[in-house]
Amino acid sequence: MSRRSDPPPPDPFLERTREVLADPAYAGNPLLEPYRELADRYSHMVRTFMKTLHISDNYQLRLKELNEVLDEAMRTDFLTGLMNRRAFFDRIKPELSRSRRHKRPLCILMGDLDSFKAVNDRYGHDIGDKVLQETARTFAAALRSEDLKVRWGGEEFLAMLPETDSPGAAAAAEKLRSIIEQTIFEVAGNSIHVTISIGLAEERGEDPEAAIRAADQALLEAKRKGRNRVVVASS
Amino acid sequence: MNDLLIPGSISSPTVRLDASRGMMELAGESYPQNAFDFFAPIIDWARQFLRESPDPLILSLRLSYLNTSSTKCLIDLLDLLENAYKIGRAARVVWHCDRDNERAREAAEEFREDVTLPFEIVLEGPAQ
Repeated sequence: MSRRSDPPPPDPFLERTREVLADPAYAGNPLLEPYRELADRYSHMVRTFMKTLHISDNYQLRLKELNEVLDEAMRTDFLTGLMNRRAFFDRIKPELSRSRRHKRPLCILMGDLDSFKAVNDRYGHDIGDKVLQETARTFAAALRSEDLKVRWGGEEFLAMLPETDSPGAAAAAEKLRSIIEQTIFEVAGNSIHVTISIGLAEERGEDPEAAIRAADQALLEAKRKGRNRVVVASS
Repeated sequence: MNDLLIPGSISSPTVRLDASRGMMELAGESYPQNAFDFFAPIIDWARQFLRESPDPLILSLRLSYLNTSSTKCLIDLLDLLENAYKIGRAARVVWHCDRDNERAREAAEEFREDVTLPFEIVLEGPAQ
C-alpha cells in the first residue's frame, strides 16, 4: 500500500482568511466572493503541489533503484556472477594504496582453463558455459572472502589476494589447481574434467598493470611447461 | 469534433483522442521539453468533449514514467474529469501498469487518491 501524500503544511494566513470569510457578520457579502474563490483556488493549488511533489519523489526513487540495479549489472560478469574487469579496476586502486600504506604484500593470481576450446568443440558452447560457471563457483569457494575474484576473459580468471606474499599465494593457487584437477563437473549427463594453469605475481609497488602482466607471463610459462601447474613470477 | 493523434517520441507518449468512442489514450513515457505545451491540446480536447458531447469519457493511461511537470499536467487533467463527474457526467479512468513495476502501481494509487470518479488500476504482464 502506498504512503498517502503529505498534508499541506499549516498556513496561518489562510486559516485567518477562512475565519474572516466564515464570520456571520460577512455572510453573503458579495464583496468577499472573490476572496472565497481565491482561498479555494489557493488551497487547491497547494494540495496539487504537494501531490505532484510526492508522486515525483516516487518516480525518482524508482529511477534511483533502477540505477542501482544497472550499476550492479555493470560490475558483474553475467555468466559467472564474478566481478568483471571494470569492477576490478575500480577496486584495485584503493586496495593497492592500502597495502602500500601498511607495507603489506599483495598478490595477483591469473588462472586459465587448459585446452578449454576442446570442451567447447566436443560438448558445445552451452555446456562449455556451464563448465565455466562451475569453475567460477569452485574458484570463488577455494579463495578467501576478502580476495577479489574476477572473470578476466573467456576461460581466464583473476584473483587479487591482499595480505598475501608469494609463498602464501602459491599455496592458495596450488590448492585451487588441485581442487579443479580432482573435480568432475557433471553437466547435462556429461562428466567433464578440466585442469587449470596458474601464474602468480607479487605486487611490488609499480602500477597494478605491471603485476597483472607479470602474472600473465607466469601463466604463459605454466602453459609452456605442460599446463595444470602453478608458476610464480620471479621477482 | 475532431480526433487528435500525437505520435509518440522517446520523451513523450503516443496520444490518441477518439471523439466517436469518447476515448483518450496516452501510452509511453512522458518527459517532454515543455510538458505544459505538450498537455495543453490534450486538456483542451477533453474540455471541448465534455462541453460538446453528452457521451461518457474514458481516460486510458499506459504511462511508465512521468516527469514532475507531466505529473502536474496529468493531475490537472484528472481534476477536469473529476469536476465533470461530480456534476453527473460519466467519466472514468483506466490505468494500465506493469505487474512487476511496484512503483508505477504506487504512483497510480497516488493519482487515484484524491478523486472520486471510477479509477481502475489494471496490472498487466505475466503473473508471478
